Amino acid sequence: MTREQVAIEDWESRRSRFNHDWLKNRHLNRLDGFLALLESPAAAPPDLLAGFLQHDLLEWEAKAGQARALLAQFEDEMSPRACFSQPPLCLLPAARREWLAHELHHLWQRRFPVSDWVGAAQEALRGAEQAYHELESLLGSDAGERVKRAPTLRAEFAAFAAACRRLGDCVARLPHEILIV
Amino acid sequence: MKSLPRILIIDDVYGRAMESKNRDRQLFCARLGVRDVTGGGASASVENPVAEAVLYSGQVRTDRGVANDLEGVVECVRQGWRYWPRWALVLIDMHFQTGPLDPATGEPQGDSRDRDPARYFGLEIIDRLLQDEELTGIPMVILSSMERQQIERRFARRGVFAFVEKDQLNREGLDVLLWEHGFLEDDLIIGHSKPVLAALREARRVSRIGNTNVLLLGETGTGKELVADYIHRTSRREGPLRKVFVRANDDMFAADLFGYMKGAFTGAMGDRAGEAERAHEGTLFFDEFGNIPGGAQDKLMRLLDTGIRETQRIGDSRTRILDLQVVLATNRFEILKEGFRRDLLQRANAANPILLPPLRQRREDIPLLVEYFVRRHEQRLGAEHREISPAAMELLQASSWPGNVRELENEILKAVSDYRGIRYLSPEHVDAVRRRDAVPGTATTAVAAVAAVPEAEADQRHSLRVVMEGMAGVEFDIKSRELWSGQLVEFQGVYARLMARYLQAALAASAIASGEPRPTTAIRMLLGRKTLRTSDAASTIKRLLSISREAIADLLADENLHLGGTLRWAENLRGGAGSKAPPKRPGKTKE
Repeated sequence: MTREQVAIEDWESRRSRFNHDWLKNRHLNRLDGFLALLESPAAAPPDLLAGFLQHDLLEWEAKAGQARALLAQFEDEMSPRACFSQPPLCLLPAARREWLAHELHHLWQRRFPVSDWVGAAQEALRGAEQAYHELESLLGSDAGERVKRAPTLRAEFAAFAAACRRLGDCVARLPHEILIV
Repeated sequence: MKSLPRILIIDDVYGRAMESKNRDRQLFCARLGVRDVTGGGASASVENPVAEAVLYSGQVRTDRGVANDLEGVVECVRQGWRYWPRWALVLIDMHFQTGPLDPATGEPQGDSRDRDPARYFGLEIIDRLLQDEELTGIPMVILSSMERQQIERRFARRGVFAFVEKDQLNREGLDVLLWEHGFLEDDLIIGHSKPVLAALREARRVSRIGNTNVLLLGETGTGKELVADYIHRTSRREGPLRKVFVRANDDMFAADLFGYMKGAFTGAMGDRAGEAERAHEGTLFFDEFGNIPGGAQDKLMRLLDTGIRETQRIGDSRTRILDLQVVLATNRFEILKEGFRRDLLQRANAANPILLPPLRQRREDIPLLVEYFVRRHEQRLGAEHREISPAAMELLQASSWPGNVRELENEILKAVSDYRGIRYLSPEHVDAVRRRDAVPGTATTAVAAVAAVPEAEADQRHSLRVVMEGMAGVEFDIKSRELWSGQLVEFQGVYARLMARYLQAALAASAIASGEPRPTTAIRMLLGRKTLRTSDAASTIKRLLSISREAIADLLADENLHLGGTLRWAENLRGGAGSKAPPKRPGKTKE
């Protein structure tokens, strides 16, 4: 496996771990399941509600950092410029390599709406973070209070879920391979 | 009373075997509005569940972590497809994480190959299920959070009904999936056998199209009218359901169907709308469509034109345009071949008829139907509530029923009506069934092999059932260990003899096809496997026979069974000299 493939796989697998393994498979499932339970909270097992509020929901804080890093690294790792740090293009004389890498990167940015894609994903991430912080501030930090308040915050949970879903869609839309210019 | 549909979800995360700790699974079930019936799970209570769900990881723990278990998946699917409650829908994840367990999360760390779309375990499962003849027609849906475009072309060739993005699926979405693709019961039509559920699914699908023509093909008494009711109900069309029963040489057919104007013919005393007009915005059902007189066929062509359905009353120059769903039914399968206008058949959508199965092809529904008809007629006639004896049920289930459900109902009606005061329905009360099936030539060809159950045999079956029910209730309680002292050896002996007889029967069955008993084929039949190695068959026989030498004696006493090398070791055991020696390696049996 070439270094180029390793680099691509790294970003791809980081995206897959975040977007597929966690965001869609876990986080959105949990949020949607919790929202369904809030329709009749009295019938829901209290430990399930508490477990979600005390553990699952809080995972967002660490994962949001991962999402930020993932988006920030997109241009570096998925631009054709990345090919110049690996054989055979890395064997070019430095002056020519740097010039060509720079030009190709520039061309890539011009040909594809890269900054729009990343910008949209970052905007969606900011939206999700904002929705999360609003929700957290309303829930408070006391475990018992959180369980009691949650049913009154259905709209806020739904807004957070919608923001997360937007983020997932934006991240999924980013290219899966280095686009040729 | 229809039961909740049961779905199978094959997913590594939600199916993982740590139910009470698996919040992901509990929340998934809450989100989909399904009741978790996997067993051992602390299922969150779900109000008005859409379905029952069995969640299965499709994986096994090994000494190296977690591995995918294709054969386990196939067996799980097979069991739920063969027996009721049957899978209404199978939802299959694509990406299954394998490898060593992460000490922090207790979950597999994953392998780079797991994420390779070319190697998705979900697609491997689908391929394998499609190769299995017994699983033909099983409704499968992909449920994945992976991007679909990477596998779009691959799964499109695999007979999968839909690709559903995992984060998009909710209660309403699952309901729609079940409605469109699932095997669902309905209170209108009693039965949950595969052919019935498949016919109901087809009926739902055509009813969704709306302005269309549907042809129902089925023998007399298979419930064509009920299916027409079902199609009309599920179409949610605003207009009424009107039914036209076409009799051979019916002179008034055209007048009934298209209507007439005053004076159009002798006896036409006033204007009258036909059944077609009355069914506007609803459904028009033609029973015995094959009897439609030749003279009416031209006008019917215009009515069956789904572009513009036109109708004209007899004696009227005006044309009326109708919005109709037309359901045509016939038991005359031969009309598809000859004697009927080709263009009319094409308009009747004869290329895609809904086939209603005869009762002999849905025997598993007979107990439900019997129970339903007995209760209905008891209530209607004010008769005693009766228990249905297993022997009577066996008899009814084994009958050929050339008149299908209608004949079964008539038989039950007679049994209840003639014996209103009894509280136990026995074979004598459905005597006509036994007499009918005993008359040569009355059973249809398809069921000629199914003999009527003689009384002695029916009684024996009843006895067997009593024994089995008794055995099911046996409890090995430590307090009564003295009672069991010394009995277990005998118990094992009985079991071994039973298994030996079972094996003997399978060997005899294997000889039907090949002319001589085939041990591997026999064991394969017993285990319900498609393939089996000779060595595995030999091991199975050894395990059975090692329980008791008496069982071996029983097996070898049948000289008609010329057993091959796989069984010769058993004779050595019987001879005594080698009884304590390890069994000889069986000779390789060619099959």
